[in-house]
Amino acid sequence: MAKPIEKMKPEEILTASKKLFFGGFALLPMLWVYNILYVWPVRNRADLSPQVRHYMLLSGILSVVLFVVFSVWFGIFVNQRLNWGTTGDTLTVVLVKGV
Amino acid sequence: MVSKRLRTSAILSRVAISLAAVCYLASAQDIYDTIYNDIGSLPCVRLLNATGFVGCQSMGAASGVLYRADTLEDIKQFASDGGLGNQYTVVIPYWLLSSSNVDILKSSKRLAAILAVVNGTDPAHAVAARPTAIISPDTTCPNCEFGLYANTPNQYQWNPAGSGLLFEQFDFPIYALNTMDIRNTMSYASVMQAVNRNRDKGYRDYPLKSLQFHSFMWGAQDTGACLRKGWCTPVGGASVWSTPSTNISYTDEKPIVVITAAMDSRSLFHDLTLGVETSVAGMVTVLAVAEALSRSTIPLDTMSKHIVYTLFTGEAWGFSGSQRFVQDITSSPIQCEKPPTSGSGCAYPFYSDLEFQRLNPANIEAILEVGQIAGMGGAGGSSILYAHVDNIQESASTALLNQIVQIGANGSTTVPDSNAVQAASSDGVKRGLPPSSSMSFLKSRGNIPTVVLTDFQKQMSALTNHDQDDSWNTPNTVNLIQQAASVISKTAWLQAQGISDSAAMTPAQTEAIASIQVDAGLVQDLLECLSFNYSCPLVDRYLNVTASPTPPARLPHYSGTLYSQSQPFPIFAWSFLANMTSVKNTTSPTPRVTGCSSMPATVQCGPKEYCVGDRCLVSLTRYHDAYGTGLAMDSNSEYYIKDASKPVWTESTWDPIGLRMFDVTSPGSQIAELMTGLALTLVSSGVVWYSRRFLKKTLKED
Repeated sequence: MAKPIEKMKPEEILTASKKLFFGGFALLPMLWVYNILYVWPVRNRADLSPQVRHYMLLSGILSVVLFVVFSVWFGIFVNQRLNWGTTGDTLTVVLVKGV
Repeated sequence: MVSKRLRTSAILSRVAISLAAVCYLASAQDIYDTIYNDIGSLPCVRLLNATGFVGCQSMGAASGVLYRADTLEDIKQFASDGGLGNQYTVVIPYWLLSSSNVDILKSSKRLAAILAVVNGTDPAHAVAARPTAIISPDTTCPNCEFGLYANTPNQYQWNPAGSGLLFEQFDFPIYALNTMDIRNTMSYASVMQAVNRNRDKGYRDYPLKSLQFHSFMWGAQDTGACLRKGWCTPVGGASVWSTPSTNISYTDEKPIVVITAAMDSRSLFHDLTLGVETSVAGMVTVLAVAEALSRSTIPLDTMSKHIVYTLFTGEAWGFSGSQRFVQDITSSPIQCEKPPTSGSGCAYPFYSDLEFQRLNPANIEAILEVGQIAGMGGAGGSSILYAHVDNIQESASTALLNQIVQIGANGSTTVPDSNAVQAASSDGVKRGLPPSSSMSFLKSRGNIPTVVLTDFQKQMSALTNHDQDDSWNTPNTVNLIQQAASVISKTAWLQAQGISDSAAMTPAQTEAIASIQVDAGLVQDLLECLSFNYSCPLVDRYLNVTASPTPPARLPHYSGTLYSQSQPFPIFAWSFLANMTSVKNTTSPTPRVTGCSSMPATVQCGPKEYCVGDRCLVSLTRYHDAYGTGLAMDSNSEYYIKDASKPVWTESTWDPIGLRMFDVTSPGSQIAELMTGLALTLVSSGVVWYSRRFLKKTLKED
């Protein structure tokens, strides 16, 4: 069983946060969101490496940027996929009958 | 008392639903039957073209309390009655189905579906109640966008009153009721009984009778999108062509006289499409002409010109049949990349038959077409036929037109009326050709002498593509068809003999033309068989239809979808024409063999023979694929749009279609039922939670 983050040493937290941050680039953006949520309870610990907060901040920025990008894409896709012809059909996983 | 019993049964049936899951399948059916009453369905469906779709669609299962509206006032009353509930199925007479009335119904925001009564026993739906002013549901110029004058500015509008109803989009189900057979009469009766009871209860005293509709169409957007997804099929079927000249060849340089008509029509409800005015009368005329010409004492295949009969399917859909036929004969010889594994034709590009390559379009020297001639549109039984010619290359057709008018007026015809045929431009106005198959030929070569015979001079019948074209004056219609057949057969015979002046005929020719008589009895039989009774003795002789456990009677004249539906009218036309154009006994060295159909084990036809009506015969009669020329089939046997400017009509695929009747309780009791259910859930959750706690405690103490 994994150790609760409250009981982890600062360097362990740093390693975890770093892994989560870089892991996010492997097409796993949810790791950035998770990074923030995971480290959140210990964010104010005095012995925490400042780098951890650095990674949290970057993760947060990337999450927000991607959220905006995905939302915009989703909006465009939902409204425009029928106008894109074959391309739209290819991009759609489940074709909705009747529309 | 009645309502109380119904309420009890409704509650019981709801209890039964929850038990259904654990019941046998058989009893599940019993439960279904206690709740629902399935009604025979005549739906309006969705069709798609290059730019969009038309017809009816409902995304979910629409259901609504039956509401009766017999007049426009009733419709307005429905829209303004604030005391009504949420969802209604409005039962209206067919003639009230117009876009403005639909808008009124929709403005109420409680329209779930419409049932349009085409024919009914109730006085409000009877033939006598039909308005005198009938409006064609087609456009003001049907199919003109695919016709000869598509690019001409201000082209003449042949159907000026056309409402365009067929081209509307409805996002709710519309079904028809029609007392045309026992099953549909039963459906009508049960709907009327239910709607009348609802009316007697003021639409407020629940439980009320409600109808649920399933009408989910898959196809959307347009033909291109739905073909890509495989959610629609091309509208089409089989055209038929036939010639007495079994030796016709592409290179024989012998001119061709084409005699043509359409076999299909369209209307809002495809199961009801009859088209006696639009196509059946024309088809009957061509068949009667073939019969009359087969009597010629001078064999037709010895004449100086070939006679070719063509009956086109898909004509109601942008002249799909004739345009494809013309496209195919003008593109011969066909380069067949992949021959079929068996039989005739070509696998890719796909052709079910390749004999059409024997027809040389450059040799076509005259086209005689029969359009609307049932006489159902005019003011009460006109007996004049109008001969229309193209007004762009008018001079090409002048001689042919004169010949037809002369034969029509000539006392030598068997028809009692003189002046039976008039030039449509006799009033001095040159309107050109009305929408017709001939346009497809003229589009490829404009100088072919062409005459289209119709019963109208200026305006198509108000029953054009109408669902209520089911009553006609038989003697008048038979007379018109006989006149048209007589004029066309004699004109074709003279044309084929190369005679322009009947005065210059030899005695043999005079005798031969006198032998060409149109049989009024045959016309009447054909009209009856091809409209209301497909199991008549005439059809039965060819196709043995009465051997079926359920002999067909009235069959729809909608072409259906390509290669997926049986084609009763093309099949009959093929058999009839094959018989009429077959090599006669007199010229055939061996007498005809009979029994190929009744005794297939002992009698087999020769390699080039066909078994038609129990006899083996040699004939050049072929089917021709009929579907929009804008469509093409690729090497994977899938259709795609090749040219969106040409007809590309497709019909949507759909989930099982149907409608069923059930009792609906009042909104109040429905809410009460829901609340009871919620309360039960909460109480049982509470009991579980409490007893778990209690048990935990008790067990701990132990």
